[in-house]
Amino acid sequence: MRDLIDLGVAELAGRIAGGEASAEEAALQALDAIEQGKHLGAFLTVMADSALAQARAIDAKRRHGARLGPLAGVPIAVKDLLCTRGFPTTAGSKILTRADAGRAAADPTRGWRPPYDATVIERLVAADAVLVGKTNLDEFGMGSSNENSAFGVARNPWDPTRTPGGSSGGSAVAVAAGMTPAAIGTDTGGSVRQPAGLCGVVGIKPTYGRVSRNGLIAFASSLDQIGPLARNVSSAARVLGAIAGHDPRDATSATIAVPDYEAACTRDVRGLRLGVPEEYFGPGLDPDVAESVREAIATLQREGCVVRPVELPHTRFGVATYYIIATAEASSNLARFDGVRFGLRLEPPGGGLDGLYGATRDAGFGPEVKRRVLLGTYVLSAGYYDAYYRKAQQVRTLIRRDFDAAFAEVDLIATPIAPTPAFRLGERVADPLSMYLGDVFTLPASLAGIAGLSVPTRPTRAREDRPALPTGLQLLGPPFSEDRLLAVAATWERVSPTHPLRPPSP
Amino acid sequence: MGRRRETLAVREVDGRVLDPFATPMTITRQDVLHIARLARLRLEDHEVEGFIGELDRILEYIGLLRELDTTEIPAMSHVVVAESPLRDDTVAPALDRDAVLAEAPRRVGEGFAVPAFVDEG
Repeated sequence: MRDLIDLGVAELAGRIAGGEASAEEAALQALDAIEQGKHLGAFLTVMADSALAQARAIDAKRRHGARLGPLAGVPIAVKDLLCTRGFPTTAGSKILTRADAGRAAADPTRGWRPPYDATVIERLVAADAVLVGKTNLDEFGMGSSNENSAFGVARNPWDPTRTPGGSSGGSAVAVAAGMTPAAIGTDTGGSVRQPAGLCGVVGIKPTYGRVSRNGLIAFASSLDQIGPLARNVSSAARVLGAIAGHDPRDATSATIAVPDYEAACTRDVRGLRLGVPEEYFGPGLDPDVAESVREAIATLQREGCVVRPVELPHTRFGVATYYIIATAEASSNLARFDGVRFGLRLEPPGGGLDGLYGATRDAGFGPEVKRRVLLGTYVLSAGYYDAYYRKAQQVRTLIRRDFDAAFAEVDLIATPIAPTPAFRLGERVADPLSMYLGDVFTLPASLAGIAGLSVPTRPTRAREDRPALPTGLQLLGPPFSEDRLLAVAATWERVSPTHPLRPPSP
Repeated sequence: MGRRRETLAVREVDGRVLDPFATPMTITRQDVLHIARLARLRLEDHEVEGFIGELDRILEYIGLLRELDTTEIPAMSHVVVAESPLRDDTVAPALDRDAVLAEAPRRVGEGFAVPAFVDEG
């Protein structure tokens, strides 16, 4: 039975709060669906006992007449990059798992158990959500295919030989395969939006500062944001409303009030100006993806949006800029993984402190993390700082100015989410640069710190070399315009001929 | 702006001196070993070989930025958050020491254990 977890977030929470369904039954359905979908590799840790205990407590609370929160009894999966007190938190890395017989272990059950919950976890629990597990990801969020996880790949439910995208691959799979009605991901350069697009679900990258990063294991601190994934727009809106808002423990979190995101989903979008940047529709774009996205834009025009071209001339510099800035920040953030305070510790005899650092980090980090730490160290090192890091920061200003200028002309921007639908596992592993170039549409908005969202459009048509696969429309808006993005996405979803999307049954 | 066009951009960089005053960037084995030391990564030999080629190709690609004249452009290190107020300076309980040390791979008494690193000879 999946009748409860197939519901949208608001509907399920409403039924549980009203006593028509139990949180325990919803949790059991989610745990069963997770078990059935094990082959997809979505989860690193399943929190079965605590989920059932939490669900029963929520049911008891209701029986005692207490009012339940906005996520009453809704099973939610969380990317394993957020700290969960007492539960393994691995960041998809062997460096956060205890050594086994003097060696690094690819075993998430040996993962570091943090002494505190991330703010987002506290807020989900306060909203009466039920945490069912921690999802698979590219190590520290570094990747676009989930193939950089130390604990095995996650697979796309539309075609298990293909990537679900990354780095929040497990969260996208959990939602797309119907294991949970919603999940939490993190987005540094597209890591919520791209897997959402490749798996056919909704994903939001909030404005930088909208959601607290306290308790999020840092990858690139000036870019990281936490955001929800869900099967429809209003579900994502409700989860965003529960996790957004100022947090004194994150000095970069904004004090701006959190609007009613769910109410925004029914707002009239007639007259809103939708900008279409031709830079995002160049020759590298898969023609079937282009067609699908253009159909959605044309539909929004029929629904009353005013569609006009905009220019984002520095788009083609986004990949280079991002891979300097994000790796520089990562090389600094990942210095804390040194074998002393958490996780792996390897101590070659007589090696001293340098021996401890070197052995632990060599065995603990995977190849992509090492590559990025090396690149980040290089661009920050004496003699290269101005040529690379400072230069990238200046180009970041130009990219932000592109968006500021565009938003003087239009209310939001519409683009494809990725140049191609889900690619085959293994296809880009040997060529890191080709993997980076696939992020070309999501990186500029991350660098600018603006709001972004991905909503499914018509899947590409099946052809000889690939089945029908999801793709998505990316909507971008000025800082703190999540409500506007949700209004437009919900309008599209209401008239979309292919909503709700379901992956073919295996 | 998809893969194909970006790949062409790489070729344009290749074999064309974008900035006649800049030294062409090619990363050497020495460079990789040097930055690995700075980053406290002890790499195996076969890893070093792989990283030379990969980093070289990535650096060549990001050399694309040299096309842009950014002389007058301010550097952006952070997204400016509209308002980030100072919080009140009030005393509040921090994490319990035992909770923090509970997951330490090695602890000594009330602290994390590290190898001796002061030469007392």
